[in-house]
Amino acid sequence: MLSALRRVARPAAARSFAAYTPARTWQVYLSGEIHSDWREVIAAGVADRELPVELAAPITSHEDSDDCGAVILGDEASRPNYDGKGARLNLIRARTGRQARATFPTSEAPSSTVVRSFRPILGRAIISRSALDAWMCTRTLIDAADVVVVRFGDKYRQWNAAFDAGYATARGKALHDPVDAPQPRARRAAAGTTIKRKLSGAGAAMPKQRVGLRRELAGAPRTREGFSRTFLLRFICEKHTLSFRYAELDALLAAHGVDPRAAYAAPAGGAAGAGADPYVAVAFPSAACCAEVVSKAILVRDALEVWGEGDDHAACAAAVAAAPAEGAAPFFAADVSWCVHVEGFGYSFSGAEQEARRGFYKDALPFRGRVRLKGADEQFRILEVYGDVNRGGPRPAPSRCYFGRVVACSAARDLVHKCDLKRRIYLGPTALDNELALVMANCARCDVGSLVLDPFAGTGSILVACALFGGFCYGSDIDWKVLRGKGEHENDGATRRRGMRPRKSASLPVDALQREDGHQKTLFSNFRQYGLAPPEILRLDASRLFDSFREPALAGTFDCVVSDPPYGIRAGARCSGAARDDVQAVPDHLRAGHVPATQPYPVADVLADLLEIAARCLKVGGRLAYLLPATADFDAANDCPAHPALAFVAACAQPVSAKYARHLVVMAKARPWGAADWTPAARALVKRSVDAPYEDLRAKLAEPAKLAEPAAPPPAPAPAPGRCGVM
Amino acid sequence: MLVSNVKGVEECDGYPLQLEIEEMRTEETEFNAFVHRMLPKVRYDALRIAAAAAGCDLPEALDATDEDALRRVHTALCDVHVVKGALVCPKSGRRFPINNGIPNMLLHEDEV
Repeated sequence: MLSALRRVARPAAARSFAAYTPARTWQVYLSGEIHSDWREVIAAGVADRELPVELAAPITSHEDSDDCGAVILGDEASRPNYDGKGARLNLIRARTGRQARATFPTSEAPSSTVVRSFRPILGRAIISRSALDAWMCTRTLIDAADVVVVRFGDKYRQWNAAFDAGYATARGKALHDPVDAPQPRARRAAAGTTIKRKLSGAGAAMPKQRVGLRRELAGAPRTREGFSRTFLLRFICEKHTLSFRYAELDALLAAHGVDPRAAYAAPAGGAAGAGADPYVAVAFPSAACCAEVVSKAILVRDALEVWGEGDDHAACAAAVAAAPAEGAAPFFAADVSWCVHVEGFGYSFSGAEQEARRGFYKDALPFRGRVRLKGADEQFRILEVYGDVNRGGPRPAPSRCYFGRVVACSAARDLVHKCDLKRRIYLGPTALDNELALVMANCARCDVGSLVLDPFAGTGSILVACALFGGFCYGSDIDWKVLRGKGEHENDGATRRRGMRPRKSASLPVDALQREDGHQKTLFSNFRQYGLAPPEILRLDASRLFDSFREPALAGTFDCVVSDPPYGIRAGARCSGAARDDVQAVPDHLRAGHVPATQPYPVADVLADLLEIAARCLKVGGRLAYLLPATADFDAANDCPAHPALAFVAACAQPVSAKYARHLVVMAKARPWGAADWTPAARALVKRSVDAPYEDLRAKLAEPAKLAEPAAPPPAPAPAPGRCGVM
Repeated sequence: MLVSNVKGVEECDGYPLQLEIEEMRTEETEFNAFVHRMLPKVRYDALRIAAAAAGCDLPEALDATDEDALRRVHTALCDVHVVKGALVCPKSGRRFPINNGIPNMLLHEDEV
């Protein structure tokens, strides 16, 4: 467990050093990769030559270091607690009396403190608390060392090695290049240059990262085939995304050839039966298909292949025991490591309670492999479902129990954290929430190779989301300021106002990107930040989009049209043309620098144009997904703008405030576009009524709230602050 | 794909727009099915003229099975970015400037 602590090679008589350093023992700290035997080679060399050297190294066994807390102090169901226990136990090792108080109390600190305290060190806060704890403890060893040797391996990102090297340099330690050490497969780069590349060279590594992300998405499903066809999907349970979950899941199911209407088990699932229940049972043709769907979903956390269910654990265990023996046999093999977690939504279980539940299943599951709490080949889960109960009280008796195998976790969920707006380089006042943008991309069925169009691109938040799923992006906007970006460090003003240090000083990769763009943040900077191919961007007037293209170039080209059009709440829409009637000709000598006049663009026209663009540019079956904010009296069935070539698929509402909600509207192109769709009569149909709930929203929001109107539906509670987004 | 949108210029006359390049940049991306998707959508002769302006040589007639030629088309379509330059309408002479890699197709108010 706490193995490989300190290898002491202190000779009785140090021959070579004895003459001039009689009493000195050199402290050498060996940091870096843990996948080869280089530490042993050095230790052997030190022992062989009897050098007065004391070697120190971090714990090099991942599992041991991670699991020791849970093994000694008792198991933990939730990940932070599990890691926290391990980290606390590991801390014992490196605490000396002098520094006992110097350790960083990350386990207790609120996460913002962790992030802020950490940013000055590296500028990247992508690190777990336990990793930070562990790093803080190796700091003690580095402080004590005379010489620090850091070796960067070929595998993984080697962040820990980079931390250690950076810290050692900061403390004025000699950094030795391990070039001459006998190594099995050394990458002979000088340690110093390697660090530099690690910290600043994100740009160079970006193209590869894009490929990696795709593989991540494609490679997430496990290949091992199960036997059950019923799967229990667990949703991400956050209030602001509650209403989108079935729209997204339906789209993904349909994209993978599963009929959403037939797939949901009783009761009548689908968007109609959408409740706040965190679990939904879905029938998939195979475990691989389920894994594919779940790995792409943003709002599904993971999927359980149901091996048995019952009203209590005894009944459930009996069902598991009756499961087809030949189907389950591969999972019981001696070379398959496994673990069984206990889960109950909203409740935690003590170690004893977990053990009691595992006891029911002991006889039903003839496991022969090794138990591994982390990184097991196969994870199993005992699940308690409580039905409709009041949360907050003591844990009730479960209404249903399940036992199953974890088939897949959402790989795409990582994208939400990856493209967090807080870390995005270029933002505008209307940048769309990253999670919602990803959900929209899924609803529009954006996949690897899809052609995506956003005629109101703005700062490109939606296009970034689509590109992360592998789409090729086309965008246009009329506003030059938004497309082109702002001058230097426009985002730092906000940082400074919040009293934080400007991002610039800490975040080297961002700086490197800015230099590349000539000190200008643009929409393209965001794509480069995530290692995505730059999109094709045009500045044009969406109401005249078709004037600028050859007819066959657009007709039926795109797979998805995804957009968050301007509604005049945060940013008013504009289109070409002067508001005045007496337009004067622009003198020829001023033409080059002339700023074209624009006029207000009514919301009904914005929507009519968007639908027309979708109807013409989408291929048949292609999807349009857009956001439509409207007052509380919005009725999706009647008030949604309609187009003869587009079929309504879904609309789900996200409450933004008590006064209005924004709706994610999904439509699919049902038939080829015809010239008859572009007549004034057809356009009037698209525009519907003049006083639609989404017209003049800004004015409506400014009106004082109408009190006590019983007919109106009760306003849903506003989502958490900062999640509302803008439009 | 783009065509001049100036009023009075017929579609067939306002195409292809001539590409003038002041500054360009090449960023390599992976070769993939994108080329096959886009080829039916672009007029190859127009693409060839534009690619020649950007310094990419494309074969006169494209053979869809020729991988090397397709790779060159991919380079012209995806990897070459015109950072600064202009698109010029062959009929009216109207210049659509390209700044920071974004062509500006917006019309002045007297042209609407």
